[in-house]
Amino acid sequence: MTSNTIVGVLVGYLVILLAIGFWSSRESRDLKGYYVAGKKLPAWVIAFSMNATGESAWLLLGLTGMGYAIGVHAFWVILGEVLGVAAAWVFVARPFKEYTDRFDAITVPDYLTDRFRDTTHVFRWVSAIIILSMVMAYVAAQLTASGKAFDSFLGTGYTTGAAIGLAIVLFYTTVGGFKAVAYSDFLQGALMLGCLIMLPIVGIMAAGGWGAMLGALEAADPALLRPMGEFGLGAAGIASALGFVAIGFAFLGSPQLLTRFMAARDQKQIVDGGFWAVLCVIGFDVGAVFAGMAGRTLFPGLADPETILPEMSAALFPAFFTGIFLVVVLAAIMSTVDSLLILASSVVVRDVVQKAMGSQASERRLSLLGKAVTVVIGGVAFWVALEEVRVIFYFVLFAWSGIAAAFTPVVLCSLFWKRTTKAGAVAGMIGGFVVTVVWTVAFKERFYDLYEMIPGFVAGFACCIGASLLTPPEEEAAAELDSVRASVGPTFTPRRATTDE
Amino acid sequence: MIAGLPADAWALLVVAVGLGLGLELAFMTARRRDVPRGDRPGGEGAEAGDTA
Repeated sequence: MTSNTIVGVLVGYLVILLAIGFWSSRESRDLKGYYVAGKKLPAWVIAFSMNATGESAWLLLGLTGMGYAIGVHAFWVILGEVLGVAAAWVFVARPFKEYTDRFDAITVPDYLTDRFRDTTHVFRWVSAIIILSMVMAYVAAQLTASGKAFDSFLGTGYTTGAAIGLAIVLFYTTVGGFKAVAYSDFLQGALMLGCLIMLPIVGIMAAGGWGAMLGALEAADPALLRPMGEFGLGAAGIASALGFVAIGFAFLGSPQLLTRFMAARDQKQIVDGGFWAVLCVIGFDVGAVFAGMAGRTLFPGLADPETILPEMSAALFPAFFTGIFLVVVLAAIMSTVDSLLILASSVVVRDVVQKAMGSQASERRLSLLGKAVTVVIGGVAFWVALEEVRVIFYFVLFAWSGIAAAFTPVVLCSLFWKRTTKAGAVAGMIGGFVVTVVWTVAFKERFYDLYEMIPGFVAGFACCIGASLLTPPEEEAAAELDSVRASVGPTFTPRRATTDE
Repeated sequence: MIAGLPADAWALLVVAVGLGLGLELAFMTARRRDVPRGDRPGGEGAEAGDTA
């Protein structure tokens, strides 16, 4: 009976996803429709879609596990993510949207190519290598999570669980394109938010209330209530806190997130959407950390802290809600996988095939190719997931920082520093990416486990700024940046009446 | 201790939530005052008057 209830909830959710795929299918018949939903999305969709894409299963399993394992020290993650999301909407979104609309860009390599007047397609090739390698690791990790979730909730077996998750995502992504991805992300983000508001409230009540929970945590380990955790104010504590804050930096320039700004209907959607995005990420992160802290009181001594959410859902809720929690975990996985698959497909078809290789195929034909590439990339990631099932979140955080360190410093310099040159941007992309990988493999353990995003960002900025200062800027680029700034207007002051005509 | 949580933990939580939320509210308040100016459709944002 219990299993039937869970299956019923799951089937209902999957039917809704398939319906979204069919409903969106008309929009996916050309490249602009397939990759950015024709640039017609409203504020509330891009806001939830961005957060759902950015967070993945890491939010539900990883961050609740951090709340369980380190308590208040996980507040540093909240600081980084809330600040990262807010800064992305306040400072990055409007100039980026303005630029990409002027160029009619539909991918981030499109934007970089036009911004730096590149005719060699270097941005497209470099982006393709970085995005494909990182997306493969990222999607494989998410499929691993899918396999484990299906297996633990329904006993499907790991391989079958990963295959079911992939098949559903591939269906609605290839049929409905980015519009289906964005609207399904909205549904999935809303489910995640509801779960992460409800879970800590029920958990804290079950633990005997706020005071009883904190008392139990202090009795278990006083470090759970200290901002610097067990490390204190030493180098290890500061490295740990900085690493947690840095997780949020990726919101400022990762291509899978910037795509949402490109797909917005107009600038007004960005003004409206930012507020909802910030509220949403606050709900996500605060809810996840406090759910983990409540879980530590209720279920001390778990061998794997990242299982606290399934433990709490099974013990504190009736079967219907256990089904909902399975759906929410799958939602977090799918909302990330769909966006990454369509991102990888876009760099292959739009950037490499259509632009770098100069294919003259029709938009309809390229759109079909894009769908085929989406399936192939998903298939390869599935194969990787079957070969490597060790650690989910090691790969997630590594791929998250690899993509972010390659693109974010370059995107920020290109939007805010006139002196940025093409050589600087290429150097920044390669430098940020290579240092992230090398740091993870060779140095991380020796330097207090400092999260690879930080050296990756430092290298990305240093290479971009250094190489830019050594090379002449592209003609008209500085004037264009001034024009974009004038067009989007000031950030914190209203436009003067004289410009209101 | 305030309500069972150390003051520095409360401070970190307030900063963690408040900094980003405050930034967004300041931005939204300023932009909402632009409303009479109307929407600026993407792609044709650089009208002559805007570059003044």
